[in-house]
Amino acid sequence: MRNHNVTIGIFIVSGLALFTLVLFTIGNEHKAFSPHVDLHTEFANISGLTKGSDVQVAGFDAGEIADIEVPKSPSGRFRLVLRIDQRLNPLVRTDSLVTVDSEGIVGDKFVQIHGGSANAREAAASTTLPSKEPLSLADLLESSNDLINGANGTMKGVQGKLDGTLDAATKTINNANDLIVGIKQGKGTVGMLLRDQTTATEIQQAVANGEQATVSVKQASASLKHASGQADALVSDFASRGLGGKVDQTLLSARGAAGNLDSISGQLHQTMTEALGEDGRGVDAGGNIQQSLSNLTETTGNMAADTEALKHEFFFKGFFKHRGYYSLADLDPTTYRNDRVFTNPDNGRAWLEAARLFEQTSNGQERLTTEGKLQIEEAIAELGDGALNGPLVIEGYSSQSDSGTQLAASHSRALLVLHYIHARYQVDLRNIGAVALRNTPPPGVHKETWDGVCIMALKASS
Amino acid sequence: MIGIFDFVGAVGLFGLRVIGSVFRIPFELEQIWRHIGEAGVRSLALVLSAGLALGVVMTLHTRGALVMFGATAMIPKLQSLGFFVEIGPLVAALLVAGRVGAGNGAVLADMRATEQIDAIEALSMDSFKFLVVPRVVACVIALPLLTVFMDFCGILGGYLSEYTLSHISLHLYLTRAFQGMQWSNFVPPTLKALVFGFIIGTISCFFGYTTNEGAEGVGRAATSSVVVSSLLIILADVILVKIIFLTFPGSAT
Repeated sequence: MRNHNVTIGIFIVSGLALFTLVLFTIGNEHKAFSPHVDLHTEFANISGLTKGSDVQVAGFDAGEIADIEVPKSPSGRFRLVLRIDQRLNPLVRTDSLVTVDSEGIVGDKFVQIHGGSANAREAAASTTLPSKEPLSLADLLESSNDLINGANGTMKGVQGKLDGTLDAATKTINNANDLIVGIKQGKGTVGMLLRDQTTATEIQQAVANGEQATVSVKQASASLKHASGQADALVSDFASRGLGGKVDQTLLSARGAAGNLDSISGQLHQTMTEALGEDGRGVDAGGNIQQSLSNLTETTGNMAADTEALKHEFFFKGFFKHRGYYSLADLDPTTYRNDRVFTNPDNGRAWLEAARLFEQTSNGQERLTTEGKLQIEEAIAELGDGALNGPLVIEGYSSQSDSGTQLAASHSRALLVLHYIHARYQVDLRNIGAVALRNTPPPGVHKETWDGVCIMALKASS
Repeated sequence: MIGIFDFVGAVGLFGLRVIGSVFRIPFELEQIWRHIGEAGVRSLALVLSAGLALGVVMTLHTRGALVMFGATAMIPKLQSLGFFVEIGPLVAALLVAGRVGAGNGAVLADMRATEQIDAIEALSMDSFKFLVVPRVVACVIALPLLTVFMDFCGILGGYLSEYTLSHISLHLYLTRAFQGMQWSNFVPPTLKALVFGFIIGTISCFFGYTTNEGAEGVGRAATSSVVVSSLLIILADVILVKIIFLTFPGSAT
């Protein structure tokens, strides 16, 4: 019976002890049994804080909210009584800021008293500390929304600019691709160099020669080294055989021979002086040669004039006309318009419009477009297989209002096309010419005006 | 339907009679003491083992969700709060209802069937005062104590479970378990067990004391004691929680 009573006693005492232990543990958690200081602060929005919510001082668990006084009017503020451990009171200064913080996303709200400045006075009991209103999640989301909208607008702007940049980059890449394809197909000077087997062979030969030369230099160097060795051996041999005296004797003999040679040279100089000296008219041989060359030049000039005169002479005109004596390098627009050779309707013509052929560069100059280059190639193809073998004339036209600009533009356009054809097809420059015809094509081609270029291939029979 | 009201009225009067008899002499302290041993000490092993197991299981269930939210520091607090506020009092009451309630009902029904109660009455003793009141008082005293034991075993089980997963120290676990804990989270729910004890004692004694149906009545009294006690405990819990929230608003948040 006694043991039974003891057991029951232990049960009751243990239960009560545990109960008391929990009470004290919770009490200690709330600093209920330690000296404390009551401080005050005010909030317009207490953001879910309740009586008993935790209070931290500089992140240290310091106490709890002892009381919350509700404001009497909407303009009033909630007055919180913060009960904190007296040991932490020195950390709290009169300028310590009070905020409402949260223990993570799912944690409780608590009051945070931030450490004040060292110069400020220690907050005495019942001091009202300054506070900072809590930032609600809704405010945060609203700010985030504004931020995202701003970022979205910026992204759209950047996207527009990026699209433009990408278009330009794509265009550049396409141009580069065209260029590379053209080069691969052997178009242009670079393409020709890459595709020309002769050039490649020559380069290979040059490299091989270089390698051979290097080998030769190496061999020569080795030979030199060998010769140096032999020379050393020879000098040693000479020294060993006592040939120094004999060499001196030989040198003396050579000196004598040199004296004789000098005497012969003097006699020869005298003979030459006499031969090149002034003749009976007082003119030396150089003057006579110079005079002869001058006479020859004059004769050649006279012959050129005579030949030019012969071109226009009745009897010889037909011959020169049949043979052809025009230089395409210096075609005169007036002659060009009136000469039947160029105005012959049977000549092959390809009319190319300026709008598709050229584009303006940033400095106001014109250049060929990709489409324009294709048009030129198509035009050459249309003119026939023999177009590149016979004379070609590029007629430049411009519809500018100003006559000076008209001439300059038509000349520039003709040259642009000429250079492209020369570079593209390697046409002999003697067989291609350019002429600036402002805006008026020659008669007989059935066009009043033109703005662009006309590629004219002379008929073979003309 | 009338039977239900008849039962409610009878139980109500029986309970009032118990309350009225508690404060009348003789207090039957020896009987109370003896029944505390029966209801409390002998239920202790059951409560401790159940609390420990529940603590382990609860941590295993809640840990995953809290880890997902990055709130591992809240595992001890959730464990302590869960046991102090609800699991401790309720599970302890249900366990005691199963063990003690059935015992009280069966013993008193048997005494009634074997005319032992009549014999006590024949000795000019107040059988109600002698048999019923000490049992109810013992349940009222023992259940809060058993609840406290259950709370601690639950926290201990939670700690053991958490320790195997994160090797957290006991000091840190207990610090976190009691961090932010209010008295209203512990005292009112523990005192709630007083009511549960009263319900267990009153219902079980009512079925045992009022039954007079022989051996068959003994079994029915035992079964009814457990079923009705458990049901009333859960229903009373709903009401008591609401009362606690009204009395201690801080504990509702």
